[in-house]
Amino acid sequence: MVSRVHGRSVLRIEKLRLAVSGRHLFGTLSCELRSGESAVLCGPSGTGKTTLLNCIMGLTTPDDGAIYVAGENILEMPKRRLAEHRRTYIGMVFQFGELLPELSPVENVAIAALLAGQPRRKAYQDAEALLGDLGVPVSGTPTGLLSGGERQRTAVARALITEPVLLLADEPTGALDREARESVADLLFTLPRVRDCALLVVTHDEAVAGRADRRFDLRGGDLAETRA
Amino acid sequence: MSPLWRQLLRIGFAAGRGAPGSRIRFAGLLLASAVLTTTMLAGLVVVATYDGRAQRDAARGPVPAGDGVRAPAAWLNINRDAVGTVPHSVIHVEPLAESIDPPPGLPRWPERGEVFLSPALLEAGSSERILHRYGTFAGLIGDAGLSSPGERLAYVRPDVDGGYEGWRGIKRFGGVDTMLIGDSRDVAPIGQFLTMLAATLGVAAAVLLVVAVRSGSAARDRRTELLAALGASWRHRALLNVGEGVVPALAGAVIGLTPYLVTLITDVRLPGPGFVIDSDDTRAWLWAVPPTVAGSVVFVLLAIVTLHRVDAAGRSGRPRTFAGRVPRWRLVAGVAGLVGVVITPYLPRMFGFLAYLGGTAVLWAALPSASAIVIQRFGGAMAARAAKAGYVAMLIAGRWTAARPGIVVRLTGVIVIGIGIVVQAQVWTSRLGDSSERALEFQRSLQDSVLVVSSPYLDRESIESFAGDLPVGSALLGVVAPEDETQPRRLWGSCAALDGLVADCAGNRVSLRDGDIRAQTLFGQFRRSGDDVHVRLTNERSAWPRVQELVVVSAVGTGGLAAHVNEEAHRAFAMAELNRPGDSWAQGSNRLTTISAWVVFLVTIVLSVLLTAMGFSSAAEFLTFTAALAPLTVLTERRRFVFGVAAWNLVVPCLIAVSAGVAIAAWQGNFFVAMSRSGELSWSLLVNVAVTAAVFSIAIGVAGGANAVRGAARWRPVAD
Repeated sequence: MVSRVHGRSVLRIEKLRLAVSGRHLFGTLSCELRSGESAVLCGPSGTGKTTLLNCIMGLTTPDDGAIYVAGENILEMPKRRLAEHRRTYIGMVFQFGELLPELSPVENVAIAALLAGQPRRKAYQDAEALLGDLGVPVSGTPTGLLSGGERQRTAVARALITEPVLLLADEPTGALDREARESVADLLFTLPRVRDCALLVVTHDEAVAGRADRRFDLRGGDLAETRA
Repeated sequence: MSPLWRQLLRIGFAAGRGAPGSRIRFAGLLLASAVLTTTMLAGLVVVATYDGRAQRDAARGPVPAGDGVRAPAAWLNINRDAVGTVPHSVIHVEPLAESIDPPPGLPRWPERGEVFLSPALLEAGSSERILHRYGTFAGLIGDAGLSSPGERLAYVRPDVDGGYEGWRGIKRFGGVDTMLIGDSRDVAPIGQFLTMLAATLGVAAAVLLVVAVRSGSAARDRRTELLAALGASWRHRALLNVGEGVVPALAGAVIGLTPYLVTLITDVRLPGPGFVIDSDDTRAWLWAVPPTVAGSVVFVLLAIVTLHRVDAAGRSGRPRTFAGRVPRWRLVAGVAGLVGVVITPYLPRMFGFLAYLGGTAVLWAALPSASAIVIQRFGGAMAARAAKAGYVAMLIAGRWTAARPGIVVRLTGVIVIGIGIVVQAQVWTSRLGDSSERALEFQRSLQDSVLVVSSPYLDRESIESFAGDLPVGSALLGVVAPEDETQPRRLWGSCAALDGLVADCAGNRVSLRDGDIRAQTLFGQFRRSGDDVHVRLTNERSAWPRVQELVVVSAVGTGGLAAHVNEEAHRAFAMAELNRPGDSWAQGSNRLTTISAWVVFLVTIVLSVLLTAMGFSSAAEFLTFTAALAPLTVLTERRRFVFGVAAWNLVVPCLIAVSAGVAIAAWQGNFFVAMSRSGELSWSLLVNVAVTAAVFSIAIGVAGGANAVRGAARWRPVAD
């Protein structure tokens, strides 16, 4: 495992094994990501990219191996501790944003901070500042009326508001047009350096993949780093 | 069937199994179809019962011989008697011609002094020794002789010699121009009964059907739009929807058929009204069951097809919000309904009644729209407050409520309407039961201390025999009613018998007006046009002239004598009748009490159905809950806030609806009482209903929250 960017280790996967319905999804899968580093996870459909993200979030339990996030093996954590760890260190951007359309963008972002225990004033201020930085209108427009790109940037803001050290994104540009895709990808791949976090993006889009520091291809149950 | 049709049906069938919330919708449609089928078959049971009764009435009814006929085939005389306060007919018969057949249901003519009883009378009267009241028990009346298996009836052939004065001559039993006897004299018209059924069960079934069809409608509406965009015609979309709904509709119809099948096998007694459905009647209409069930299935499928229309206004891919969607005219109509109800007292009687009914209907119908506007504003206010305070659950719930008031309206509407129905039913039944309650109260204070015995056969010898069998402490008075109705009635008896009844027992000027409750009762019973009842004192019954009635007087509050005295009276006098003053009052209102029992019975079923509809509506909402909150719940792992959202989104509006429903129902109930000057509003019932509805609301919130938490635990990002 080689790393070009030198930061602290944020994500380390060791010999991960998982079989689903008798099929070996992961053989002995390993990789490491450091802060300030961005990586893309590519591979044909059905190879287990989203499942790997679920494992990193602790939503799916592998058969064997270890996953260190921020230096601690999440597979050994009790449920409550895992939840707390995820809330503190991991941010996630889903393919379709998974925002609440009836709430305003500020509210969608702020609720993540509020649920993480931040005071109201700080949560709203941070949400407005983040959305402003990311170019999302912070007026009272309901989220449901935003454009696709704006919605995805709002989802990114929600993932960032708790200042996670590891940011995961599952096909964040999959449902966007070219212009919106460019803008969201630009935003995402500047984050590791600006915010000193690690970014792991699942994508099929070669143009998006080309922006990452590193590229992993998931094939035959193992990760192959194809570009350093 | 063309391949495309088959294909569309198959796609619909598959969609019904695979769509999100399909299990809830399947169960909802299944239940709606079952309730609708049961309701339609209940209508068929009513038709079958009325038809069977009409046929039996025609077969068993006596045919009067007519005034000119000198030699009738039989004599007939009908008395009324009662077990408790439930009246029944006692039919006295005396066959004269060899050729006349006994009434249907009797295997033979009773011998002199014999009696045939209906099974229901024998069972109900066992505590009053009904078996020994009218004579020697000869057997049971068969079903063919009863209007329904639950009818209380007796055929008696009294042991009298000659003297059939006052009896009616008849030609035969059964045929044309028959007289109505027994319970058939007190039957409500079939149209009235079917209307009541349609207005209660029918409406509830329709509500359940609409809720079930529309449950989880967002995905289906989207599919309908897509198919329309692809060029599918109305028929194609209908086929797809039919394919989706046909299985639950059919299965529900089979379940809904079950109660009717039970009535085919055995007689069924309805809880509440106690009416017994005759299996012979339902069997006779078996041929009508398949078309009725088919009609029910077709109705469900039509509802499925017609409630999935393409939105002519078109739609965008963005989430739909409902702000400002409620038409204003509905609010105006609601206000008009309220005005109609309020001005009722100032209108002429008939108009007032119509204004009350019409106003009430419009008011209730407009309530959902009015509450949608209120709930929308409430949601907005809730979200604004939450945004200021930083309450996440309240914020999400407030925004949801403002964006989709219809969901909360459905829930709260059922609550408010349910409370309204319960209170209206209670006020109506209290009004119906008012007079019988007063009669029963009067009887409770008097009990059996005054019993009046009448018979056309009160001769001196029998009176002596009867007096000898009276319980200790009871005394006998004779009543003479002069044929000249301007003359007052006279009571004959001794001072010993009147002891305690009147203050002063001396000479011939004893006045009942100044006596105790028994004397007052006798005065009320026997006075004629304002005159006092004259009392003639004598210690010797032999000095009595021919009396028309006898009075058995016992100490005030003596109970439990009536059945015994009734039996002794029948033993001593043919065709005896025993009355407790107030009996006719109580028995007359017994029919109203029966109507009350029907109202309570139907309202109970309607409420059960409405609560079920509410449950399904809520369950469908839980899915929306789960889908929307799962990603957030997974990311933050804060589960308590999910319950918070459920509480603010479902429980709080429901609790407000309970308060509003109680207030509206109490106001309308009191208004009705004041307007009709009868009945009363039961506050304890209102409190019970409010508590039940509040508990149900909280249960919905807890179930919704728990479901969302469970759903979130299962939720995983699936895009790959």
